Amino acid sequence: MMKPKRLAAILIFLVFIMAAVFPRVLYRLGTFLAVAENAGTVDAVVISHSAEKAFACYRRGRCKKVVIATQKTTRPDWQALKSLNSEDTIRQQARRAGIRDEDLYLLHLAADNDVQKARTLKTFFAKKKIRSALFLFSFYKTRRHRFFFDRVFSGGAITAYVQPYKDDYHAAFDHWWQKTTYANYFLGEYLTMAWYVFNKLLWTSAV
Amino acid sequence: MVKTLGKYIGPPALLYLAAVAGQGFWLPPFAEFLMRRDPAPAADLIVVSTGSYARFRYAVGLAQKNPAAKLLILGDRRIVTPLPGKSPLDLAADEALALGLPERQLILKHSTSTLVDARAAKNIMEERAFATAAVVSDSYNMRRLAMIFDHVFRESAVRLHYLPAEFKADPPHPRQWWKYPREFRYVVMEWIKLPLDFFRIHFLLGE
Repeated sequence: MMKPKRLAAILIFLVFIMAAVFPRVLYRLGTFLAVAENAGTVDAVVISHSAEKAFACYRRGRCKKVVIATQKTTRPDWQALKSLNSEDTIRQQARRAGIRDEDLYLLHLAADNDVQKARTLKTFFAKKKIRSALFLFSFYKTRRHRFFFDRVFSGGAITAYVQPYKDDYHAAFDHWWQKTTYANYFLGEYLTMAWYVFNKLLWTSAV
Repeated sequence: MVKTLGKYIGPPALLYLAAVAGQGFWLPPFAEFLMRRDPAPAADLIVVSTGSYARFRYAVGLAQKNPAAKLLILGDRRIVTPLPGKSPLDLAADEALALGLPERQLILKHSTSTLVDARAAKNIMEERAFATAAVVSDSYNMRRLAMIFDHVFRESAVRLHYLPAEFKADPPHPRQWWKYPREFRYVVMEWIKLPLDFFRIHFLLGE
């Protein structure tokens, strides 16, 4: 039987270690979600809504085409976002940003999950002879997409690069676990990857 | 050799096969436990947070059917959507007005968690001497939401009713939740938060 003093000392030591290590571990769990890969020159840049970084890439000649892949869903969503993501709005913004109509593709992804989305993109790329693509996402979604692209595009003819569509995201990692919204976002990203693994393990038809 | 291997590998392998074969039996209760639906009352206050659009839209529908009720919308103003650069609370306020809800029916409050939502709702109920509230949220959020609200209102005479927002176009799938990434995220996240919040409200908060 351990003496109470000794037990208390061990407990205090463990609490101290946890307090010292936990913020670092949590911080690393946050930063792990952000992937920013060097793309060089690619056949296309893919975004889910109009993004200045994609248009700049096109204007500099590093992205030959711009693909705007929007999610087609029956799920209700904010009207303000729906109108912003409408095909007409995106096309107008792309034109204003100097994208020629022949270099702009609008793709509607009628998919329930990331695997289906990536497969649809793979088919689309094959049809349009796109062999390399830069994908832009919100910073915390980049790891998840890297994860799914590694699985769906592996062994194929497509080279995919992933980057955040804005570069000013680093401050978001400071104590993210104390901000409910970011905590939900970040945990959600890990769980989406876990969803894939779980369904693979259970041999379901979802993946 | 084979006998020894069978001794160690056999039971886990059998357990795994049983888990795969019986997934339709042992997984649904995890989602079903989280769900709850009370009869819809003629409430004085309808409470909703901007955690999802579906619940907001459902709450607006309730408020439109019951013009005497106030609609309390809670959301985190610190985090904004990439486009149009507004917080979900501001999007909700704009859309509620655009849907024809009169401004006098709306109450907007900044909030960072379900616990803060409950406390804000309680303050308003007490200030205005309201007797009944309808608390709206997503199907899988109901168990934890009710636990927190019931705790905050435990010494109050206010009657709380919990209403899940469900849309025909996007219904939950509690019998197959693990196959849908969004539902997988939601259910697992709730099972992480449920014990944490239970511990927090019963042992950490000395109200």
